[in-house]
Amino acid sequence: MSLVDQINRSKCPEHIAIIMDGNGRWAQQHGEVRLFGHSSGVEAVREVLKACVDLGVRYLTLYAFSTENWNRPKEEVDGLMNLMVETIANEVSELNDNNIRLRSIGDSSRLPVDCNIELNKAKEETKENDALDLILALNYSARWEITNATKK
Amino acid sequence: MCLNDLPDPELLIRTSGECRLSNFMLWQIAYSELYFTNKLWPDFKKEDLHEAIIDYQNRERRFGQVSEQLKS
Repeated sequence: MSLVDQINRSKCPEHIAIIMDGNGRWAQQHGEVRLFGHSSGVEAVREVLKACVDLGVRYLTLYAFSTENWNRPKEEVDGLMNLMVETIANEVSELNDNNIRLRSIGDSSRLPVDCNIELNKAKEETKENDALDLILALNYSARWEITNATKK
Repeated sequence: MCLNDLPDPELLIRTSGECRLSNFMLWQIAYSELYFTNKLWPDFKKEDLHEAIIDYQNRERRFGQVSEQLKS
């Protein structure tokens, strides 16, 4: 029996959260720069997204960038932001094809302007989709979220 | 919290063998099942997701109760 057949479809998690770690180490193992690992990680996101839709998972939250990640070398941070902008812009039609709605959590005020533009555009263009909500945690940390919630 | 309309995650996965939460969804994962795998993220395939879900489905989620209460 294949793995997927061992899954009880009626008891699938409704919401899965993932800390996507290891891009840098993966790149190192392949003799590449860290950024290459991040762009390779995008492929894994695509695959997991499709698998979640197939299983009927309703929400997928991905830890894409933490409030602490700004402390990484500037080159990596800039590269990550560019990758984010490009990926979000390029994936909108794919998200729509798969009936996926894009959302985000985190302090967006510190994200680059073009990142917010693409993010808001993608959110707007996918807001009617209801197979799966993809929630990107961008400039997110739980302590920021909880502190922020107490201020309201 | 930011995602008031969402149910809490039933399953949290972290790749690359690190066993930390790194300030992620600390409020929402109060009763989440945690799954750690040594796979690095770019190597994480749908089969790895399937394995994580099967592992999750074989766990007993008690939410502070005892086994006998869940069976009744």
